[in-house]
Amino acid sequence: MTISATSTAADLVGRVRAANPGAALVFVFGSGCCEGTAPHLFTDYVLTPEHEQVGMVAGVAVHADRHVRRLYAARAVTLDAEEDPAADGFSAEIPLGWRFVLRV
Amino acid sequence: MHEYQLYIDGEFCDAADGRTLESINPATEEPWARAARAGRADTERAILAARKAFDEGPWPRMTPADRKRILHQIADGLEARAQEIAPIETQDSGGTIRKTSGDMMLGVAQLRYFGDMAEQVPLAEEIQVPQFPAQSKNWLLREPVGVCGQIIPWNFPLMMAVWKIGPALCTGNTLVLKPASDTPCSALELAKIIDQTDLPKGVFNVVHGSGAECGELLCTSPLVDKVALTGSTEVGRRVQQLAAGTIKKVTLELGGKSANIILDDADLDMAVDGSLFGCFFHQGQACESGTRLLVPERLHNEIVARLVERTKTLTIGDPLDFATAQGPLVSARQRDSVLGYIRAGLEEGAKIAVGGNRPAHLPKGAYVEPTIFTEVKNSMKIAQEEIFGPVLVVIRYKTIDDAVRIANDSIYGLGGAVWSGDKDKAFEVAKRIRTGTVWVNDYHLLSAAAPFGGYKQSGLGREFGLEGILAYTETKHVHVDMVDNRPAKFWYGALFGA
Repeated sequence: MTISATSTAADLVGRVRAANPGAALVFVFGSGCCEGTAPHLFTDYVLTPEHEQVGMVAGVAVHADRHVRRLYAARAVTLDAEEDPAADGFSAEIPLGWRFVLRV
Repeated sequence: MHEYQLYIDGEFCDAADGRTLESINPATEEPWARAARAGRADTERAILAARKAFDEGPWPRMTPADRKRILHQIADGLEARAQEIAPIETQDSGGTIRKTSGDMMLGVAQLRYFGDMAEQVPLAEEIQVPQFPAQSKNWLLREPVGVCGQIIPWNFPLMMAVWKIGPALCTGNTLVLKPASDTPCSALELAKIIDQTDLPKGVFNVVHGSGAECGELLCTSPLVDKVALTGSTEVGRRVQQLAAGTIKKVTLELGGKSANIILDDADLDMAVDGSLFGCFFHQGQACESGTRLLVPERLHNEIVARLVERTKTLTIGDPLDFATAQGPLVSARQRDSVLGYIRAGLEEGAKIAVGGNRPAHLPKGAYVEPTIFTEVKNSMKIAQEEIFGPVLVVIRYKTIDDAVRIANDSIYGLGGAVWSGDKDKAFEVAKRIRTGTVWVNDYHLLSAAAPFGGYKQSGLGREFGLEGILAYTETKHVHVDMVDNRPAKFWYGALFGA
């Protein structure tokens, strides 16, 4: 599993960092249901022993659990971002009216 | 255009910062309603209202008979407006009018169940304890937890609201309900109904906003005692982590990838239609859907042929038309997510037996054809992740042991079914599946009187039934001394000496 990011996604990470000074940021992935495989950018998130770092995006570690690593084992995935004032979920970019998306 | 406001402390109001959000009808992809969009300030105000209503208001101290009466008022109000709210929910969520009309009836019945249970929950029981060292009487009291933050998803907007508020109100709690951003209208219609009942101000509040703003505050505020979420497993993990800071009580109803097992002696007419109902009802957007169909090797081709034939009879189109079997998904975003899973299935080598595309006759709208994959391995992405769309994967098994192993090879454990002509045999298989609900020769039939929830990463705790109601209570033990004699209390010697 390899991760890259668009410049839009990298810029959005910078805006989230500015809005949450001092917070430890980490990306993790959903595993289906209401948000599909959406990436979540969380502040001060407690990783599980099953999480492993699979890359870095704009200085933020991207972690995936065993389940996601197995699913994306041979894939190159790209982190992108879209403007979406209707976005829901707990990811830290949502109050900015944007959301991260995964392009597989 | 329908207009909606937030409902805080018994008043309808705009968001503090004036934000609104258009609700998009997924059948037309056009805005059809506009709702106030709550932020942190609105959520703080709603939490304060619920806190005050709990600490100072009459609600937690009302008699069970009064709580029953008011829950029945809400049920009656919903029943009176059911035919009006069903099409509202259809336009908001894309659920067919067949489905949303049924949801209204179920919601009414569930509210009446919770109302009746207000008088049946054992709120005070004398318990027997050993009478050493002290003679005593002992009481177990069940009291409301307090202020509850309740976060619901977009798939069954009205019913999810009822599932959350029913047990909370039944036992005297106050609450702040956060509907999903895509589907605020049913919860706000419910607020209009509740506003006309005798429920005291501040007991029930609705904030329509994002998880990151409203939801996070519900999970972290020290003024909130319990948080309940129906949503994805990843968001459930986040909610549990946020709630840990103030040791909130947590109930989580999360994702699933439930196995639906057809045994080789099943009535195939019933099993095929039941399996399609189990997966394609509401376009597959139900957490406990039977999305992995396990079939015996020797019947595989016959079952797939029947599944395809019956799937082709399902009409896709306008969800407001009672003739429609399959409406759109909740949003274009969800449609694209499902189409992405379908592409992933093809990339991994699975074969499409039917469907797989947007319907040719519906160029607009969040529609996806009901889709069946064959040649699926249980390790594939489409067999492990909850697609939340009309996608059924068919997996072959050789023996019952093999079927049970495949069924349990999932991070989830929410629903499932076993189809057989021998119900005793099916029951034995049901016992071996690590999951919260198993139907024998049926699917999707949940009862307000039976607990529902997940094993493994499908959740924490149960909703429905006495177990689901007690999840909204704290347990208190009261010990009443019956010794009545200081010299006889020899155990005080541990402090004062003999």
